[in-house]
Amino acid sequence: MSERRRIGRLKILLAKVGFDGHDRGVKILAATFRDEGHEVIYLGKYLTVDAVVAAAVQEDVDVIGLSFLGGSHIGYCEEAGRKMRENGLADALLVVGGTIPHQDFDSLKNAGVDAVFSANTRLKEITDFLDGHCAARGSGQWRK
Amino acid sequence: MTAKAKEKSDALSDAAEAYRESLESLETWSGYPVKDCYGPSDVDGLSYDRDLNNPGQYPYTRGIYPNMYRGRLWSRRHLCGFGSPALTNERIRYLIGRGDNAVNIAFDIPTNSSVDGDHPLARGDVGLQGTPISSIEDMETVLADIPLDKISVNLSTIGATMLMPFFLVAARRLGFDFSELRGTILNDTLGDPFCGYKRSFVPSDLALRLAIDCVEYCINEVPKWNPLSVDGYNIRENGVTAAQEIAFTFALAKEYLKEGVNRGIPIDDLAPRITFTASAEMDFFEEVAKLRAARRLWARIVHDEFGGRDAKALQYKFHVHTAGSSLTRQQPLSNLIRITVEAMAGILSGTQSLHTCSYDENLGLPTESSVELAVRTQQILAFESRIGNVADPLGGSYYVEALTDKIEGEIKKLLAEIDDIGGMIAAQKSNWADELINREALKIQTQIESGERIIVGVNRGISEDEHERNVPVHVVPDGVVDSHIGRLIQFKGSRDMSLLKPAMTALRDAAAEGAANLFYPAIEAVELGATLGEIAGTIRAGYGYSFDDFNLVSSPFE
Repeated sequence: MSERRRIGRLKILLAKVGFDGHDRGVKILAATFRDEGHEVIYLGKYLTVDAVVAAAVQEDVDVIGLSFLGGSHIGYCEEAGRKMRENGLADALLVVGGTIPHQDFDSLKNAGVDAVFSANTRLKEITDFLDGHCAARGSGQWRK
Repeated sequence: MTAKAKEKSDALSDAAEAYRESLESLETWSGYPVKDCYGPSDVDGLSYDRDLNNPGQYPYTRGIYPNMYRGRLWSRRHLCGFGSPALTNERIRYLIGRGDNAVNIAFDIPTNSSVDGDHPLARGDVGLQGTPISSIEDMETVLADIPLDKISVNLSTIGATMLMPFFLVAARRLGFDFSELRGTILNDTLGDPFCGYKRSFVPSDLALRLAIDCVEYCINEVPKWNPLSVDGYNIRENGVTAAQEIAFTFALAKEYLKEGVNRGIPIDDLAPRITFTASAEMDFFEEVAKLRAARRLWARIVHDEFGGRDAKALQYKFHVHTAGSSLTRQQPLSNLIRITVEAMAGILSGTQSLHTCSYDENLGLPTESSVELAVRTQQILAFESRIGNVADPLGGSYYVEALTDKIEGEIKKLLAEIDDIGGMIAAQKSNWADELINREALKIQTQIESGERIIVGVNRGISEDEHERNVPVHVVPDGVVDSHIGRLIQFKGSRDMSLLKPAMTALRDAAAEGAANLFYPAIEAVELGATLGEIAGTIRAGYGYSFDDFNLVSSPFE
């Protein structure tokens, strides 16, 4: 836990879509974000993009995090980016993690993905990114 | 001091620091403290005859054959599958051409979940992580031109037991007799929830029945085939310890043995047909100790708890898969070293079969050149290093024997705990197993974050120019998956439903009936064009579940 005292926090929805069930990483992230003081909803695995977007709308989340190991990331992220825009979630971040080849980063960016964290990323890099997002949103999400 | 001089002085002081560097991780990978040095007092309690014995002799601690690799080298088999059955067949033949002497087929996740490629939810995952196989045509394509009487095939599926009837029918159509077929199907249906697919298409009672149907059928009809390989690899990849890997594996194996014995299969017929798949992680000595401990303990379990007496029944036979999760995305070529260390642990433990990962697996699908290196790694170890020349060369090392004993003790403790819960199925249902796995995975990540667990490239030896070192990954050509699915839909339309429908009704009735072995009606149905998803769905329906686990597809046979 950082020494900063949190007076606001992010609402983060984590999920796996499609058939891939490799969830070691996403469960670690759920625990880490929780310990950092964020509100975490881990929706589970084997989900459709529709189910994830519907939950995100209902819960009014700040961040959607999708985890992939099996190479299905581009198709599902294109769908997620499109459906987030269609459902009024354009302001929410779409963040992707897992086994993601560097050569796919541009396609993911074009699909509306705000950040990609490939395998072996230190957790601190990810939590720093979220802190930065809090700071960028202003409105006193964090206070020294 | 000028900036340049300061830089030079910093570099020198870093070098001086490095000179005084000492080891930091003074525990095993699994967290057991180790001492400065080991000696005779550390192996006081061990009796050579009782606890070690010569290779080829009970309890087989030192290996299952007297001369190990001098008699037969381990099988070199590399997991292979992507895109379509035709592309996979091409890669398999490439691997054989490069020096693999066995085949290891990976299936995509819809296939592993016993779902057809044209299922409405499957499209995003078809042809990824493995080859799609839905129809008998797909299986014939993937096996084309492979001499199935000479080369052993591993069907690397944990949950899709019903791929086995497809393999058998395809092999027969390709001109092979069941009695000639050699190989393995993982068929570790109860272990499905521990692996990355983690979607068992059936509940545990039916999963257990299907697994043992496969074993029983192969005992009767496919004499050289290994019909069940209990898979510790996928359990370990969750982040558990060496002892937990083996304890979970054995607890699963005991469930299978109990079910088989309950059906009336004699233990000395049953146990020899059950093999194992294990991981090899980065702590070289611990992995060697783990696999030696596993061999000793399995012999004792089958002997003492199940009354096995035949030598083959008591032998822990295993395939080693080097640990994919130990690889790093950063500086991917460094993975070649990790893979080599892990492969050496597998070989020096006396493995029967070995998959070496490709160094680029953390980035994406391996390329032809990276899988070629994985084959070469094994050939160098086999033919240049000579580490396989002597059976159990690490046996007798005070450290290795003490650690073997320690890990055997830890496995036994865990097995006793699982027995108290009521066995592995109960341990899964009560979430005991999941909670343990989650706890261990988080512990490892926390250690990596703090730097306590060193991973070069991740928290030590980090290179600034990382992005320039990205290596290409293999890309499945556009259109391959769509045309594969198109062919499947066409295939389904081409079948004679007047013949297929009664066969599926017979399968459904057999599933409902409870005691029948489902392989006999399933093989009939495959002959007549039933697909994997249809067979699995019909069995589910016979058992009283919905045809489709997702309730999106209805049976075409009702």
